[in-house]
Amino acid sequence: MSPLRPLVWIAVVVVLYVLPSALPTQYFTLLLQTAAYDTIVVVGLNLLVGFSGQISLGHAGFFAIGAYTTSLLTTSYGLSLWLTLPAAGAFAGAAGFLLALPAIRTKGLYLAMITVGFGFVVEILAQRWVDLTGGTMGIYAIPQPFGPVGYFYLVAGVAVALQLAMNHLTGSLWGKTLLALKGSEEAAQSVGIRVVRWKVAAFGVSAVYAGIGGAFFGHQSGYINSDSFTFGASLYYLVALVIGGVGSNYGPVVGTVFLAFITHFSAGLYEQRFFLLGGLLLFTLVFLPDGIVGTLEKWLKRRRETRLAPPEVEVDLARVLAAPANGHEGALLETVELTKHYAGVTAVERVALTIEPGTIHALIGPNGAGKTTFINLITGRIPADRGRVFYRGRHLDGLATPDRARLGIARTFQNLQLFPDLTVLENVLVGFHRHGEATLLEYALGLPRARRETARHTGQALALLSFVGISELAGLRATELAYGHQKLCELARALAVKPDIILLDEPVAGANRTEVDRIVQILGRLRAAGITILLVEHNMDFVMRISDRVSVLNFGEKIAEGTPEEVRANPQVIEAYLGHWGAADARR
Amino acid sequence: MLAVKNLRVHYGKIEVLKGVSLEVRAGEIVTVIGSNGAGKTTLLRAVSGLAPIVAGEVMLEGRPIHRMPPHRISRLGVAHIPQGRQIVPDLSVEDNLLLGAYRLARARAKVREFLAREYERFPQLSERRGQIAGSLSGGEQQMLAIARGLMMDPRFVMMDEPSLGLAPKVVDEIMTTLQALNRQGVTLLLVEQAAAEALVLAHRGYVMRTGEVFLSGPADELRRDPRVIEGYLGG
Amino acid sequence: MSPESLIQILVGGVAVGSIYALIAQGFYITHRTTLTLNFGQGDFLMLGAFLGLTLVKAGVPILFTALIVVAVLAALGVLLERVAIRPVGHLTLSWVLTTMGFGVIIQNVATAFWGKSSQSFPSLVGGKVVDVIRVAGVGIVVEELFIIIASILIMGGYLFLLNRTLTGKALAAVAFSRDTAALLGVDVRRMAILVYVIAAILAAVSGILVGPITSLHPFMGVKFAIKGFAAGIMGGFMSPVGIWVGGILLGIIELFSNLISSQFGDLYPFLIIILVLIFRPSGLFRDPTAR
Repeated sequence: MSPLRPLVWIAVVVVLYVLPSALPTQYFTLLLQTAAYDTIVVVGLNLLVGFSGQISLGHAGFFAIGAYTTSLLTTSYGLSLWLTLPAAGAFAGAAGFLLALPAIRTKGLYLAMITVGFGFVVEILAQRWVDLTGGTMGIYAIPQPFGPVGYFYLVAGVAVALQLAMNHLTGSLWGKTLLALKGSEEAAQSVGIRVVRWKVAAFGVSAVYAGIGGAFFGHQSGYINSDSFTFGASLYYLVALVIGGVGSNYGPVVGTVFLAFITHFSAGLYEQRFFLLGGLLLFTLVFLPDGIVGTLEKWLKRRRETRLAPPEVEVDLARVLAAPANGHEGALLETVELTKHYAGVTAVERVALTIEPGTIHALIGPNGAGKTTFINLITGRIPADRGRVFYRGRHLDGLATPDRARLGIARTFQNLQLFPDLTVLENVLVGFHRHGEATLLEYALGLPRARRETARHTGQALALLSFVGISELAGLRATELAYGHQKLCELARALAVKPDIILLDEPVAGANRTEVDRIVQILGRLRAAGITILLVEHNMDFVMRISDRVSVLNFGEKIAEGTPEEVRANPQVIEAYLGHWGAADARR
Repeated sequence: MLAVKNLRVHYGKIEVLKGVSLEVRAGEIVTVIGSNGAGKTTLLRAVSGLAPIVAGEVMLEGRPIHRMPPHRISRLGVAHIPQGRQIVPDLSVEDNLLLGAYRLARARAKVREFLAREYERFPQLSERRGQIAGSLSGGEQQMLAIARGLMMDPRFVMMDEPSLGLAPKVVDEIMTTLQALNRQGVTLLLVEQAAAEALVLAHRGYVMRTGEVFLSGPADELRRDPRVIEGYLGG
Repeated sequence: MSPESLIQILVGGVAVGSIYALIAQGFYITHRTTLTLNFGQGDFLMLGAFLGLTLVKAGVPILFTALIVVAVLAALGVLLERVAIRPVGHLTLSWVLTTMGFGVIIQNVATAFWGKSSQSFPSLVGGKVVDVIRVAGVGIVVEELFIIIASILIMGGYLFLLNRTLTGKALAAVAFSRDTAALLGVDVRRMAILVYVIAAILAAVSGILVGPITSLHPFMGVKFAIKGFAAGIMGGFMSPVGIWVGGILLGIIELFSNLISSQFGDLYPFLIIILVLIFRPSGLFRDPTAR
């Protein structure tokens, strides 16, 4: 998790310095160079596969783009390596961006298949666009700077730097955000994460790493041709990653070095190399799915579990939650003629609802009356057939869930949607997403603003956890919590959005009496802090205790609205709940 | 017919059923009521083999079934009509019914006989037999779900919230159907949130709360129990 | 271009397009039922082609050849499901890698047996691959006609299985909800094996059919897998008929674009995928059962 201490890094540098002279022949120096630039590629691939939950079967394509970029720029235009290296990364990154953009919007599987196609296309272009690439004849006389050992130092230095940058990224809020959307896209969107953008960004960064790795390949032997960029190469990187451990920081380097040695010692079996790769891939995924490093980390995990002391201070909610802006007079949220039908079933039918700021508004009705659908229509998770949602007097047409979250509409889910790869604290941290200001680069370099922001959000997240009463659980994985605590964690995450209105889907379902009391108290304090609440709930006792206003849905239509007392006395409501059979009583 | 002993089910780290015991005798209608999240649906899913059982046992007519895969349990004559109807929307009404008789596929005469029986039971379905199931109304979909469950000619039927999202009049019809079915000798285990209807229909009832059975007894007694009235019948 | 050569190109396009459609059906049926698919489907096709070639060269009649190849690949489909799908499940993308790894092993085995150089397949209908019959005055390559007729027969059987049999309905139920299907007595695991067997059989048949009109080498699979996928994307991966049409369209487009520039011929299907994804992400045809 945390970047290794400086001492360890000094040791790493010393080892890398000594390594070329410790090994017998120059052949091994070349092998070391190869392992170093392959590591760069695999580190980038790890971001894609291990953190954003996507897959690329065409990374050799980006590798090739990097290699050709630097080779052509140095041989044809005589540019310096220091210029062509970044250019190689940029070109590959741009290709990754263009490739991912159309594919990610559709089914997840499409991207995987399209990366196969991409790798294939690059291979064909490398082979047949002879004017540019030289085809199988290749490009000669690419500069080979610094001599073999010096070149190894350069590649290894860059690899270490890129590994550090990746550690910063994945350890930071940025990496947590990726893990979050890997765990639950729906919940990620509900805290304002624009999922497509993040996935494309991860793909782009990953391609940049592959491009830089490819550039170093280009200068290694002074000669490249189209034979190096086959599908087998893409597979090689994936195998290295899987063997090392997908999603662990040092899995890539361990896997790459391991595979480099295997390949070296099986050099006589060149024909069987792919057999080896395919077999290793299958074997590892089935029998050692966490890879070498991932498995070790699991063993060591218990010891390293972080325990965070809960802050002693009484939480100043107003400060954490930032008082809602008062730009708009009148209703905070209003729906007009809101309608949604599913195949043959009316879910929500022309519902008009007005929610006044600073109130607790309950939405009740029998199961299947359309309550959850109504919430999903407000958050933009599903599009309405007809009708509109107005928020602060402005309609929300065309805004997706993340945009609405960014306006201050937060929610919880009926069936919990915590981010399983993150701790309780990190779940809440990700909730602050829309309040982040530091950029990707600042996070990668670990610059002060990124660090300050992380520290500030961590403090606020702990404050929120202590407000809902589970701060002592902050270091646990979210999925390790008891059901009731998971609900509170979700509530804290929604509060991290600093919402004006929060939509709670069955906040006390499955809670016992004490837990219900606690939630009543929490919601009361939120209301006092100026936050508006719309809740869907079946527990009538709870609804009657806490609500300012109650609306009743039945078959998607609003059949009653008023104060809790008015609604309780409404004959239509009684019938909807008790039904004919029960009311007519003994029939048998 | 069915005996559940000390059943425990976990989803991840969450304990959904914390040792539930329950019994259904042949010929009975037994209902399980309770609020959302009490574990009622999980109970049915565990009995039919869909939910991971951590401990406890499920006996069907004295035979342990808690280690069987769901399709084998179904072939023992247990119909589980799941919540939300779960009819296959892009197949026709008749195809959905034929799927219900999947295990009888080779006994064509039987399948035809049962098909005719269900069309007789639900004339509305007969009129729409060629229609795509997704285009049915909510009530018709529920009828189709029930009819599909009955196509396997079960001795024991478990039903999860048949009243879900249905108009009182339709619920009325469905409850009447269930009662008639029971008189023909089918044992019923009914999970319901519409506690009032369920307790009128059933002989005995169990009340669940947060993964445990907290009350049980004859339905008439439960209906008069102040704790049930306050918590589930809406006072 | 003369009307005759226009028709000839159309027929050729329909023939290769039918092959792409068969591959895409394999993707479709496995993904619909198990939420996974075989990224090595192209390698299955390659193996089918090589096995077919070996048997035909050894003098085995074409019909027996087909039966043997289908049986071998069906068994391989079962094996694939057991070692590459079931152990890893559909929840993570591991299955992409395991099926890929399986395919690579097949490539390697093929290299070991048949070498790396390209080989060609004799005609399936006797005579030469380029033999032509005249239909209404237009010369049509017999081999292509054979492919079209064979693929229509296969599609007919496939559609019959999906739409007219109880097994097909059970597959639809599994696609809709595994739990619901299991409650109806459907053995969901057996259905998973079944769809992998069907996909493998489709690959076997397409491998034999495509043999005479392409050159065989152990790494030919990727190309076909990508084009099969492109066909599926054009059809929107929603209905078997849509995929069929998508495949045929792709084949026609490919042959016509090869007329314009043959140097980068294999790039066009990829460009088409990208264009379709940008402008019609759910495929060229509306899904009739869209909800």
